[in-house]
Amino acid sequence: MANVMEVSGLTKNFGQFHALKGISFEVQPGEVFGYIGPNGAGKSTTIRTLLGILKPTAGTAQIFGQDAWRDAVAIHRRLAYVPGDVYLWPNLTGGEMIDLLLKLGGQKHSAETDELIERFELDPSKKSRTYSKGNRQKVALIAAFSSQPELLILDEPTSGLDPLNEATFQAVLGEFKANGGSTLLSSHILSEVERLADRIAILRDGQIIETGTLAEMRHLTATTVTVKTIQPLPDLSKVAGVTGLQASGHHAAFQVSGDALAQVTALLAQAQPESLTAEPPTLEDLFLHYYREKPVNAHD
Amino acid sequence: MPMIDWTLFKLLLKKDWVKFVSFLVGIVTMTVGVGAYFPTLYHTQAARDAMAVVLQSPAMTALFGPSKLARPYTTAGLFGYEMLIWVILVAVVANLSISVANSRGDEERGIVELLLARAMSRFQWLNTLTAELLLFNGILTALNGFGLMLIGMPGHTIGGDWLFAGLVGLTGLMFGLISLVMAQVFGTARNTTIGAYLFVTLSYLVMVLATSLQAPNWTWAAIVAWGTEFGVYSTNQRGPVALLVLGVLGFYALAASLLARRDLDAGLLPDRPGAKRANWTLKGPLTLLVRTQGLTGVVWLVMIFVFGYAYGSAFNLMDNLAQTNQVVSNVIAGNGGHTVVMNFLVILTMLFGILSAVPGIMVMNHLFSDEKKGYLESLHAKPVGRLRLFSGYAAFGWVLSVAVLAAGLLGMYVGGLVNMTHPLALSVFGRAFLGMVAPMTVMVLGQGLIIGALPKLRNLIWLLAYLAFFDGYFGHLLKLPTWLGKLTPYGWMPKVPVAAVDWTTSLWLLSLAVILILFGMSWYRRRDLEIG
Repeated sequence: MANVMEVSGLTKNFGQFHALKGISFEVQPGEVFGYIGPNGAGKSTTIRTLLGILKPTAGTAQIFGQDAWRDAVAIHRRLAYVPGDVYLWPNLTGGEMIDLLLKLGGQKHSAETDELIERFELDPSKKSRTYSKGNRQKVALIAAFSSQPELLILDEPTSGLDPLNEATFQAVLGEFKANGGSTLLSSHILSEVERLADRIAILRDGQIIETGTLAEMRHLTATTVTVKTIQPLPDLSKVAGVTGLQASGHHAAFQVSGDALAQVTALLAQAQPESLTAEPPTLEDLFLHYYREKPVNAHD
Repeated sequence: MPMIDWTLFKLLLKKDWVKFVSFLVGIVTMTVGVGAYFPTLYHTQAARDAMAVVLQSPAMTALFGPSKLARPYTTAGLFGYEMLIWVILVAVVANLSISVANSRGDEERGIVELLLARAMSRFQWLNTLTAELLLFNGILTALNGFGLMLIGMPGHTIGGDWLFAGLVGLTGLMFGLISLVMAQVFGTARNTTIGAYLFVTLSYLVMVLATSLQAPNWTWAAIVAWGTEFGVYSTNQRGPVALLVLGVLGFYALAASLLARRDLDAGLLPDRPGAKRANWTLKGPLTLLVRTQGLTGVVWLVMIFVFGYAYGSAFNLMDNLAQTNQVVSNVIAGNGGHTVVMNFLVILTMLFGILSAVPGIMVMNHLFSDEKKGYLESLHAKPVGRLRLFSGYAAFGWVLSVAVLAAGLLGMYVGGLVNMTHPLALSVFGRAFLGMVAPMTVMVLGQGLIIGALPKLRNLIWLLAYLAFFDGYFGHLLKLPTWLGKLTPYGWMPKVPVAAVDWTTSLWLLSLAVILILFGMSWYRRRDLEIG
């Protein structure tokens, strides 16, 4: 099946400022594609270009095989979007806003809409100006999910939600995915992306510096090991691939790269481990790894 | 703790200095520029006497406020009466604009929350805003006072110069504080602005009605016209200045006491729960505009109708005066042989033609501010093309402007119908309407081009409107060169409804408007949208 979204060499300049410098990635049908990066990396710029709000300086962005700029209206019939900062007309209620967004897409308020309002615990009768950020996000999320799109574009959709609502969001997104929907999920809440995303792209200074599954990325970095042994610890400092070693008597904590793991476990076995934990790198470790250790030349 | 936070004070000035300078230049050129012209208008005592009679006619006092002109009529005396209310009104607009943006506007943007989380009390905040208004009106008073001294109109006194300048500054300050009161009552900047302008308009209307119904005691209820009670350059009563000072202190105290008892980010008016579901009237960009801008539209329609009615009811008194006083009809009529009312009608038609463009221009501006504020972001992700969105705003704005023009003229017709012995025919107002539709359309749709192509320049239109108003109102009076009027679309139309509608001019103006809006659309389709 063809990709839902195909971005190739996407470039966006604002005057002298290069916001996006040739970005390429694709979103496959039925997957959640995590799009992560720090503030100002270009996540929202990418998304606004995908929505035809900004015109690409160079490169192409296609959704459902159509051009994101030229065929925006046709594309928008089949997708739903939740902005990072949801701004609603202050004198409309949340319920009116949800219905308006549905009607603009040619849909209607359905039983599912009511169910979503209930699950997210939104009071739809309040004026939008009295909503907190989280409540405004709920309005946009309810409108997006109940429009039953083929593709969801979510820009940091849970940054204002409380943990309960975040759990609801994850459950609802899970159901959407189970029904075959595709998602572009931009976020910097990495635990969320880690839990939901099938594949991930890491963005920095307008460039994608890594794309792949979490498993693939984990291979590129180290496992964190803490160990307590009965026998005195062997000298691990000479082993290539061990970093950040902190050892004292029978205790040690260190990181080990994937290719040195066999050698290290053999050494540790001789010292009879009493307790041992090995944590795979979290997305946060990966994130920090890429940001600290792979500086990107900002002037290319 | 100091009464005023000087860091915030400096920050406000840094943010507002362009606004300060443009308003100061606008108001001072209006005062001093016209003042410098005035002596050339009325050379002889006979001319001044005739003008004084005209100005004291009921129709004119309805416009300018109660007359306190005293013999012998001097140029300065005429100036003080004719100009004061207009300069005050512009100063009031300036103060509202500064005051609302820094109070409820900054609160809405979340800036005030940041400020008050620092070691700043609510009253320091209020005092700092008040200090900025004091500074603005202080500079305004000084510039106007020295300016008037410098040109030294025949018959002026230094006391009169400073009384004029002081009244403008004090009334401006008072309305700045009134908007601070409104900012406590209303929960949004939009409603605060509506509330403040409603107050100004009502206050002016009280004056118009009180003078045209000859109920002088009621003019004291017209706060905006308090300044006109002082007989600047004529009787120069200074005692009642205390009244204005009291007003300033009173509104400050009211704002402070209201601020003391309200929550941040909320007005005193409670938020009622609204509908849980959208009804059938809310389904697309156009109906959304009706919901979000409808109230403002209705306020415009009602206000302009009442305005029209007030002027219309003055026609009768004017007609009588003109029939009994040949000098009067000569002065107002200028070189033509038309009746006084008809010439008055020309000025009013122009005024209503310009005023009616304002709501339409504001709707066009909303297309940009809604975009900037992010309201439209969720809409742009829907299958709603930019053309549809743009056309929705343009159509709504234009229809609103047309309706406002019609309502104003209709109000005038009804006012005349009820009060005149021989009311003016409806066809006269029909001619006025047809004559003004084309230039008004150029203004509204022209603003569409600006919003589509160069939204940064969107405020230039107000300069154009101001110029059209200035030329329409004072052009004949001050004998301004005709090319000045031609800079605005209004200057190209013959003087309707006295003259017939010039269809050729109408046609090319309308064609121009269509071309402008088409360019605006095509730019709007191609440009990046700005959010945040």
